[in-house]
Amino acid sequence: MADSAGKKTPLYELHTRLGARMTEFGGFAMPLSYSGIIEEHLAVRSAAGLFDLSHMGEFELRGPGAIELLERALTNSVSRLQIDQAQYTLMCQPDGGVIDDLIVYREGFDRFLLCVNAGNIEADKAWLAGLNSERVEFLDLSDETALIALQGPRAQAIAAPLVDIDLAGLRRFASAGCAIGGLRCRIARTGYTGEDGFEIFLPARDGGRLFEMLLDAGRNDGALPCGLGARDTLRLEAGLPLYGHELDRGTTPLEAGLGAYVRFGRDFIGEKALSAERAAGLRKRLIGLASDDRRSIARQGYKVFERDTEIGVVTSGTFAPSFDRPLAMAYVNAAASAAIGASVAVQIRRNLISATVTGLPFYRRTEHSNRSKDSSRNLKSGR
Amino acid sequence: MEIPPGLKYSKEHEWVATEGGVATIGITDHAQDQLGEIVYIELPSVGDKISKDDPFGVVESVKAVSDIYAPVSGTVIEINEDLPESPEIVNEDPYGDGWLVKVRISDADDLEDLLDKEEYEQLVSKERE
Repeated sequence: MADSAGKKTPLYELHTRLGARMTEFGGFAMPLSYSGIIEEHLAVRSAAGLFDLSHMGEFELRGPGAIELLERALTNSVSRLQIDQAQYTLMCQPDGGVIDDLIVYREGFDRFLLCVNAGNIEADKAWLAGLNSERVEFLDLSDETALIALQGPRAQAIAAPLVDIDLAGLRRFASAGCAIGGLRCRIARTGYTGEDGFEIFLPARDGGRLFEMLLDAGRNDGALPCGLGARDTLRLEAGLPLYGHELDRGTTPLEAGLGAYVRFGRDFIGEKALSAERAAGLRKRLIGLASDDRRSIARQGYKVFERDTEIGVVTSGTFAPSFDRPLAMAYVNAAASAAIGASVAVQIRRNLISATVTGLPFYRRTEHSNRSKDSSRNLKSGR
Repeated sequence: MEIPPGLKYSKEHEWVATEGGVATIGITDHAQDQLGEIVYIELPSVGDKISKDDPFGVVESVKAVSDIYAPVSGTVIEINEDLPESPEIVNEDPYGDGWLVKVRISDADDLEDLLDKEEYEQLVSKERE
């Protein structure tokens, strides 16, 4: 169980020193948890948490053809981005199946940073290389880049005294070059937890120093170092997809409920298939599930039934600390009704456990406040 | 990691305490530590027969599902009724209040295959390498 094989991030020694339990993810030895998944999760919801995300891949694309290449490769439109803005986007096959989901940051008129999933770095690189006319300069910066996330309602208050720019003026999905405690960084108001917060790119050699600096700065606010365990429970509550669970090459962005990140009318790869799918109707759709006994955990791969008919499969499921009960996401086929509030069953080992269909996300933070501790919990039928 | 003397241990990280032909079974401190926060436990019913080396229950942490394997064969005569509501007891007190089931042993020879404290210590330190 204590499998720590794989590549190491620049913060590996620090994690060991902080007593992290390590796990393998995307080919990397990563912290699963430090003090405990539930405690770390709740710290992010009420105060702040600090994550090492240096396993993720970073590509820089430069040159006159960069816009053209990314307009072709990605479902969202990079032309719509102003400099220092970022967007969530997906890369699809011609049949609409998802190769990866990523964030693209516009750093200059024809300079872009792509942040991709660790497990897809090589596949993405090969795919983009196949589309690249030699004009676009492609740099894989993954090994030389550290990525640290500071997430939670106290994130801004913790980071602000160390940062040489006005963080309050940094809007969601905006980014800026800055110095944090003297270290050169790019900071973005992005995240994967459902909370306010920041993701910070910097040279690999400075990653550990930044992590320790932010940890010290946040100690009095209740900030904790957090592992991938809490990252997973946080993103699940926030209804955010994880590649390999809700997304894969057999799933389209529309099926995953990500139509807002697909800009039609640009001739991107997969557009014809997605247009046809939109016209014909989806084969499957993503739903939320809450097990009625409040104890049984529906995990990835478990089958979902409506009356006696198998209608789908669970993609992610875990104990959700903010709700003190298990929650799951599942794909159900289009023929199934499985409306919000409907009762379905999940096969958990030998038993059929009843569960209620919910909308997504399960958790939405209170808007208009970066500091509120009063987070909304909207796990209700009918949302 | 606590490994008390006087108990028998299985390679699957269960402990066994025997008294008058009855085995009390739980999971070890090492097992609960590896699992992390336990949020769900599935136990057999009183009267169920369990067979040595077969799974007879399930422990789930936030992150993972693990089978619990029977260290001995026998008939379940008591289960820990507190665990369904408060599975975290297994994290807090794996050798005490966190016991799982009591079993009337059907074949005392099963106990011969189990490890003593020193043997189990070796097993755990090997896994931690």
